[in-house]
Amino acid sequence: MEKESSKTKKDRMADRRARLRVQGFPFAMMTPFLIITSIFVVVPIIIMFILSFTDFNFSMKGSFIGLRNYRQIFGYPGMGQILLQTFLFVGVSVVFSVLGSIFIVIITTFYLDIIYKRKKLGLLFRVLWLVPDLTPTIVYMFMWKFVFGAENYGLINKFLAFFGLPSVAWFTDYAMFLLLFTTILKAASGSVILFSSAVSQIPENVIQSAKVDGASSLTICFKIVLSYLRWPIMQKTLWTILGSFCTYESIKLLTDGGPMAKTTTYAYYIYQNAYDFQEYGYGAALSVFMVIMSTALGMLMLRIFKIDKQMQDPRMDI
Amino acid sequence: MDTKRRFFERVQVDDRPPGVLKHVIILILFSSIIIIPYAWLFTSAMTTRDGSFTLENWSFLWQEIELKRGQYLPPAYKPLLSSLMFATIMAVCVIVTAVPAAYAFSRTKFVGRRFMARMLVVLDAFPSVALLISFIILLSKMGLVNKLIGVIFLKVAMYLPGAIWLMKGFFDHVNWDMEWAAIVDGASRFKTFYKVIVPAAKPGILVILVNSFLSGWGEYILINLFMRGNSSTMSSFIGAMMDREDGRFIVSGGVLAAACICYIIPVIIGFVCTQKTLLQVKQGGSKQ
Repeated sequence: MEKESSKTKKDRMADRRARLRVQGFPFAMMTPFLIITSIFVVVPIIIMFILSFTDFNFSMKGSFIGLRNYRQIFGYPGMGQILLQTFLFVGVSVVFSVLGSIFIVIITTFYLDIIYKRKKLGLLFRVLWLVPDLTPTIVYMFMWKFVFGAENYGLINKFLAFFGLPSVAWFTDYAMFLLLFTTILKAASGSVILFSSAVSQIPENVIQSAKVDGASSLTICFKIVLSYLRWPIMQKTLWTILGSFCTYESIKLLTDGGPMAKTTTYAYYIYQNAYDFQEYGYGAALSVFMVIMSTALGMLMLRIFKIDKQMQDPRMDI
Repeated sequence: MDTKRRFFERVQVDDRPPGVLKHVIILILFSSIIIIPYAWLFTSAMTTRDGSFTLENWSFLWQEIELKRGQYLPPAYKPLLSSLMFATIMAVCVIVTAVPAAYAFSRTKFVGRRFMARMLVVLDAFPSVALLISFIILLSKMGLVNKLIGVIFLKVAMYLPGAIWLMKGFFDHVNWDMEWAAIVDGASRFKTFYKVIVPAAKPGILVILVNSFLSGWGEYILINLFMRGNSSTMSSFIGAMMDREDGRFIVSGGVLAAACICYIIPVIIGFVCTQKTLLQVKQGGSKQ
C-alpha cells in the first residue's frame, strides 16, 4: 500500500504505457487477420442476413419483402427431393470414405510398415493414395468424365463394347452413383495422412507385447489400432460431413446437378441461385440455413475436441 | 571392404516376416481404381485418336487453340504463369497474416482470447458456398470484380482460421525456455518472435505454405464465378476447353488430357520434394 502511494505521477504514466504495450502486442500481431476476416467474412455474413429479407437479383436492385423468401423456401415443391439427396449424399460419402481410408491405412501403415516392415512399399502406396486429394478438382472430375463417358471416348464403355456388351449411359442413369463414387475416393484420399500418422504413433512395444501374448494381427488390428484411430476418425467424420454438405464444385463439374436435378444437393441449389438464376435474395435466405447448420457443427467440434483445454495460458506476463 | 561388410550385415539382419504378397495384391487391386484412370489420362495425352504415339497434343503449350466462331485460347504458358502467381500470392498472404496471429493465440494473454479461439474453430467450419452471394455483392461494390486480387482476398479470408489454428498447434510445441532466454537478454517480444520462434516453427510454416499454395493452385469455382475471361488461370483455361457443342467436346480428348497432366505435374513434383517434411510434421502437428 505504502509502496503504491509513494510512486510519482511519472512512474504511474510509465506503468500504464507498459501495460498498454503488453495488451497491445497481441492485437498488433492479429491486425492483418482481424482486418481481412472482418471485411471478407463478418461483413458478408451481415450482408447475407440483410439480403435474405429482400428481393435482390441480377439487376443489383431490390426492396425489403419481409419473410417472403423464407416462405418460398418452405413452399418450394422440389425442396423435399433436394434435402433427401443431400442426406443421401452426405451419409453415404461420409461412411464409405472413412471406411475406405481406414482400410488403406491399415494395410499400408499397419500391415506393410509395422507387421511386415516394408516401409518403402507402404510409403509408395500411401503417396499413391494421396494423388486424388492433390489433383485439382477440375482435372479430377474431367478424368472421371473421360472414364465414364460415351462409347466413342469413355474407357469403361469401350471396355464393354470390346466384350460385345451394350454401353451404359452413366451420366443419365447412374449420375448419383458417379458423384458419390468420385467424392468418396477423393475424401478417402484426404484422410490417409492423418490416419496413417495416428497408426504410426502406436508405441512398438504395445504391438510387440500383444504379439507375444499370442494375438493374431487381425486381433491387434481391431483391438489396438482402431482404438488409436478413435480421435482421428471422429475428427475426419465431422469434417467430411461438413465438407460433403458444402460440396458444390464437384457437382458443378461432374453432373451440373442433373439429370432432372437428380444430383442437386442443398449447397448446389444455393450455387445455382447465385450463379445461374441470380436470385440473390432467395439464395441468401437459403444460405442462412447453411450457416446455422455449419455453426452448429462447429460448436459440436468445440465440445467434442475440448478446444478450451487446448488453449493453455501462456507462461509469461510481459 | 566397408561396403561389403554392410551389405553382408543387411542380408543377415533381414528378419522381415514372409507373407507380404497377399496384402500387396489386395492393395494393388484396390488401388487400381485410381491407377487406371490416371494411366488412361496419361496414355490419351500421348496418343492420337486411332492409338498411335504422338506429341502433337502438347502443342497447346505454345500455340493458340480455336474454340468456336473466332474464340481463341491463348498459349498455355500464360495461364500457367498466372496460376503460379495466384497461388504464390495467396500462400504468401496466408503466411504473413496467419503466423503472427497464431503466435498471439499461442503465446500471449489478451482480452477475449478464449472467445476468439472458439470463433476460429467455428469460422474454420464456415462454408464458402453460404457466402457466395454476399461475395458477389461485396466484390462488385468494392470494384474488385474481374480482378484476381479480389478472389485472392476471398480465398485467404476463408483459409485463415484453419491455418491459424494449425500454426498455433505448432507454436504450442516450441520450447518456452528459448523465448525466456531471449527476453532476459533484452530482446523485445516482437524480436523474439521473428528471431527465435519463427525459425523454430519452420516446418509448420512450410506445411501451411504448401497447403495454401495447393488450395490456390487448384481453385476453379471462385475464379470461374468472378473472372470474365476464359483463361485467367490454368483452371479456367481447362474449363474453357471443356466446353461442349452438341454433347461432344470441341477440343480433342487427347489435348484436354495433356492440359490436365500439365496442370497436375507441378503439384505432384512439389509434393514429392517436400513430402518428407510434410509427412513428418503432420504427425506432430495433428490436433489430437
